[in-house]
Amino acid sequence: MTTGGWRRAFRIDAGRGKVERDVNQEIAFHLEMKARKLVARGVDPAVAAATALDQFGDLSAVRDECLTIGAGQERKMRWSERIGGVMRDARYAARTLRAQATFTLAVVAILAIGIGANTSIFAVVDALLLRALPVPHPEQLITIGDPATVTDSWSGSPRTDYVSYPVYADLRDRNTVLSGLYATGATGELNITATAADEPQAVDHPRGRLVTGNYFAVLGVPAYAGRTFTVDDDRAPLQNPVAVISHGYWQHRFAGDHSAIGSTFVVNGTTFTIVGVTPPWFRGDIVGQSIAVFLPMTMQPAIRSQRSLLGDRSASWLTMMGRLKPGVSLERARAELTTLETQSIRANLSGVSLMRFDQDLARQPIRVEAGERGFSRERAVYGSALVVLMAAVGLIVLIVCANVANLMLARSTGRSREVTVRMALGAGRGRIVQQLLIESTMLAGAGAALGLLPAYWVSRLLLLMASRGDFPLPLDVAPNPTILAFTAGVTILSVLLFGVFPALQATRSDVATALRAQSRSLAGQRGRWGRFSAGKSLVVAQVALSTLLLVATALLGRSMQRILAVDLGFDRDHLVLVDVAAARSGYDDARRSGLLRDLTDRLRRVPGVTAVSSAQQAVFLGGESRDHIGVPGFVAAANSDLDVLNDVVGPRYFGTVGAQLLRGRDFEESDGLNTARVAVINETMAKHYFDARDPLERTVTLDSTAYTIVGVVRDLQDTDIRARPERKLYFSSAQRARVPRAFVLAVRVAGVPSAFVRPIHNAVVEADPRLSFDVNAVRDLVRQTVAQDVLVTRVTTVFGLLALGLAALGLYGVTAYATSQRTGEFGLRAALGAEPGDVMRMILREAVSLVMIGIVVGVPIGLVATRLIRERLFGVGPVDLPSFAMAIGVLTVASLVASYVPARRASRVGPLTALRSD
Amino acid sequence: MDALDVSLTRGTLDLLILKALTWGPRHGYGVVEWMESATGSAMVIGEGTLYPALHRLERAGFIGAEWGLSENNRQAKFYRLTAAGRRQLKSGSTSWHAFVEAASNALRAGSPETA
Repeated sequence: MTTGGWRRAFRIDAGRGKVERDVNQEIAFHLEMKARKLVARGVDPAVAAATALDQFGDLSAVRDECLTIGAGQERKMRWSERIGGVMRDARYAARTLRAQATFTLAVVAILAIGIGANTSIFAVVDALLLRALPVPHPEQLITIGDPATVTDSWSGSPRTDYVSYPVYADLRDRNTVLSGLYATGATGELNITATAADEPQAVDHPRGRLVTGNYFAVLGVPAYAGRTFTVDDDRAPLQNPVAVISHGYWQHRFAGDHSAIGSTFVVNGTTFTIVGVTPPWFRGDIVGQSIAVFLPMTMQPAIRSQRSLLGDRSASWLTMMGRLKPGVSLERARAELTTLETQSIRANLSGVSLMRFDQDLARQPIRVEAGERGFSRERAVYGSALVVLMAAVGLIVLIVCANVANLMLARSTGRSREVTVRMALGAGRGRIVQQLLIESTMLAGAGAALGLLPAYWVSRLLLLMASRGDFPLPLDVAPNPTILAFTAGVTILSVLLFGVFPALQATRSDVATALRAQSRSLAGQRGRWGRFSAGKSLVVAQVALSTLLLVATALLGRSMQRILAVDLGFDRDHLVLVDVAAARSGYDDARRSGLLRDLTDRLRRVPGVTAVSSAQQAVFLGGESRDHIGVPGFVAAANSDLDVLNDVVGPRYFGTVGAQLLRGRDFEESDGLNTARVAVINETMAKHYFDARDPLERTVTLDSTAYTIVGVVRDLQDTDIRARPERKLYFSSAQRARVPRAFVLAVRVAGVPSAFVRPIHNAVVEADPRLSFDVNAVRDLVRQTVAQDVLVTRVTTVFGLLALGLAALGLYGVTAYATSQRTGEFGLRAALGAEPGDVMRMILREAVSLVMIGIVVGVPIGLVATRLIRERLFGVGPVDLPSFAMAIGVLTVASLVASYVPARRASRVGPLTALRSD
Repeated sequence: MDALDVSLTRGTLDLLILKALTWGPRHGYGVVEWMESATGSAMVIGEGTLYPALHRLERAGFIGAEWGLSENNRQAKFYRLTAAGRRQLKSGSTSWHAFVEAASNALRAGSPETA
C-alpha cells in the first residue's frame, strides 16, 4: 500500500499542508528529471537546473492552480469520506443490532412506549392548549370576558364574564381599537327536521351557535360553498331565517349534495334556508366543541328562550371576540374596551344594583385577552390536568432512558474486547463513540417510529376519557409538524440521555485493565466494579422516579375513592334526575302544571320507584339561582351578606333525595297557594343568620313576602364536590303561581340507578314523544363534574404501573448481570460450605438494599413534587402516610419478585460449575 | 520539422494525457516524454498547462494518482487510467478523429462551392 493509502486507512486527515507538500514535490521531481536530461547531454548542472526552471513557465502560477484544484479535491474527498464513514457505521450498527435481535427488540419496544406515550399526550396538549385557530392572523384576535364560559347564561344583574346583547352593541359601535367585534351565544338543544314530504321525520340534534352577522368576516373564514353571513343578515329581529352549516354536518346530513345549499330545514319549529357551507378545516371558534349549524343572532327568539333577549340588559349570555386594528396593542385595547363596557353597564344601573356591580367589578375586573386560541371550556377544565400528565410522562421517558442506558451498558461490557482492540489499533475514541451514538440513534429512531403509530389512537382514547359522552372530544390530534418536531426532540433527548453515557463508558481508556482476563477472576475488581456501579446507580434512579410516580398514583387513587364516596348530604346512589325543557317543547304556563302532574304520576308507577318530587335546579345539573333576602333581626355586615342560593322544590323533596332534616319538617302537599308561605333553610344558612338559636318559626322576606322557616336541612353539596356549601333557601313549588319553564323531576329508586334510566325514559316518552328531556343517574352526573380527576387518576395509574414494570425490569437486569459475573464467587462460597439459602438471601438483600436507596432518594423528591398536585387531592394531604406506605410496599414486593429468579439461579451454583466456567 | 504553431485545445491535451497512460502508470515527466516521442517531437507540451490538466483529470475521476518510486529511486506521483478514463478516451478519440477529418476536408477545398 502506498503511504497515501495508509494514511487514508487510518483516517488521519491530510490537511492543506499535505496538498501543498505534494504539489511542491511533484514539480520538484519534474524539474530534477529535466535537469538530469540536460546534464546527460553535457550541460553544466547549474545551468541545466536554471534552464529547466526557466522552461517550466510561471512556476508559482502553475503551483497555485494545482493547489486550488488539489484543495478542492481534498475537501470533496474528506466530505465524501465522512459521509461514507457514517454510512459504514450505520450499516455496521444495523448488522450488530440484527444479530442481537432480543436486545434490539427489547430496547426498541421500551423506547416506543416512552416516546409514544409522550407524543400521545403532547398531541392532546397541542390540540387543546397550544394551537391557534386556523384563521388568518390569529394573533390579532382578542376575547372579551371569560373564554371558558361559552354556554353559560344568567338572568339578573349584568355580568362581565359574559354579557347581554345591548352591552355588546355598545362596545361594537363605540370602540376605536377593533376592526370588528362579534358576539356568539348558545342555542341550547336544536331540534332539526327536514320538511320534504317523503323523507322520514328524523330529528337531528346538532350543536349550534347564534352568531352576529360579522362573525365570519372578523374571523376571516370564507365560504366553502354558497355564502356566509353578512351584517345584513343581522339587522332586524326574526327577519332573516338563514343558516350556515359546517362542512362536516353538510357531509353527514346532506351527503355533500350541492343542492342542499338554498334548500330549507326546520330548526326548533322555524324554517331556515341554508345559504352556505364553511370550509372543512373550520369547526367554530370554540376549541373542544364542533359547531355544526350557525344561526344569525337576530333569530334568537325563535331558537331559545321564547322571548327576545336582544334588548334585555338583564340577560347575560354572549361571549365576544374582536380583531385588533393594525398597530393597536392589546393593552390599549384592554383599557378602552374595559372603560366602554363599564360605562355601558353602569349607565343603566342605579342605587343598590350599581353599588353591587362596582363591588363585583373591583373583585373581578373585566378580562380582555389574546384570542389566538379561541374560546374553550375544555381547556379550563383539563388544562392543569394535562400539564400534570405531561410531567408524569416526562418521568416515564427518564425511566425508559435509564432502563435502556442500563441495557446498553450491560451490552457494551460484552463487546469490550472488540472496542479495546479497535482502540489499540488506533481508532480514535471519537470514532467509536460516533459509531455507538449512531447505533443509539437508530434504536431511538426505530422506537420513535414504532411509538408514533399507535400514538394517534392513544390520543383519541384520552379524548374519549375526557369527554362526557360516547364520542371523543372533537379535537384534531393527527400528527402535524409541531407534534412531529416534538417527537423528534424527545427522540434526540433520549439518545443523549441513554446513548452518550454508555458510549463514553465503553471507550474509557483503561485499556490494559480491560484486556486482562476480565470478569472471571476475583482480582481486577476495580475495572468491572466501575462499570457495574453505573448500572446500579441507574437502577437507583429508576426506583426513585418510580417511587415518585407510584406515590402520585396512590395519592390520586385514594383521593378518587374519597371523592366517589364522600357524603354529599343526599342519597346519590339511589337517585335519578329527569331534566325537562317544558317551555322549549311548546308547553306554555297553563299546560306546564298539567305536564308536571302527569309526569309525576307516571314516574311513580314505574316499578322500583319509591318517591318522586320536583325542583327547579336540583343537584349537579349546573343550574344556580340567587336571591337577595331580608332577615329581620339580623345585622348584615355587607350587602352580599343577604345573598342566598335558592331552589324551588316540590312536596317531600328532601325525603325523595334522601337529605337529612335536622329540625322541623319537609315540604308537604298541604303547603299550597292559600296557606302560609313556608321555607326550608340549610345548615349553613341557619348558622349564619341565627347562630345557635332555633330558626324554626322565624321568618325571612323576599320581595316583601314573608316566609316562615319550617325546616332546617343538612347541607346538600349540589354543584361541586370540592366547594364549601353556601347558604341556601328552599321554597315550595306548590306556593308558586307558575311552574318554571324548565324543571327537574327527582326520582328515588330501589336498586341500581342506571338500571332505571331506560324505564324512566320510556315513561316520559309515553307522556309526550316530542318532549325535550334528559335522564341521568346522579352518580354519573357527579362523576362528570370530576371528569378531569378521573382522567388524571386513570392515566397516572397506567404510568405508575408502567414505571413499576420498568423499574422491576431494570432491577432484574442488573441483578442477573451481577450474579452472572460472580458465578466464581458463588461456587467458592458453596465449596466453603454456604447453603443455597444463604446465597439467595445475600442476593435478595443486595437487591432490596438497592431499592431502598432508590426509595430513600425518591421519597423526599416525592414530598416536594406532590405539593404540585395538592389542589387536585380531595380528602388526603400531600403527606399521606398510607399512600407512601403503599408505594414503598409495592416497590419492595416488585423488587423481591424481580430479583428472585437470578437469586435462585445464583444459589444453585455448585463449586464445580464455578470452576468450569472460569 | 517545425513545431506546429497551433496551440492545443484543452480537450486535445486531456485526450493525449489519457492516451499516454493507456499502457500503464506514468509520472508527469513521463507523460511529457511520451508525448514528445509519440508526436515525433512535433509537439512540445508546456508544463504550465500539463500539471493543472493532470490535477483536473484526477479530480474528475478519469485518472488516479499514487505516490511511488521512480526509476532513479525518487519519490514521484504516478498517474494511472481509471475505467471511466478509458471510456472517456475511447469516445473522445472517435469524436476527435471525426472533427479532424471534417476540418481537413474543409481546409483542402479547392473552390468555394462544395463538390
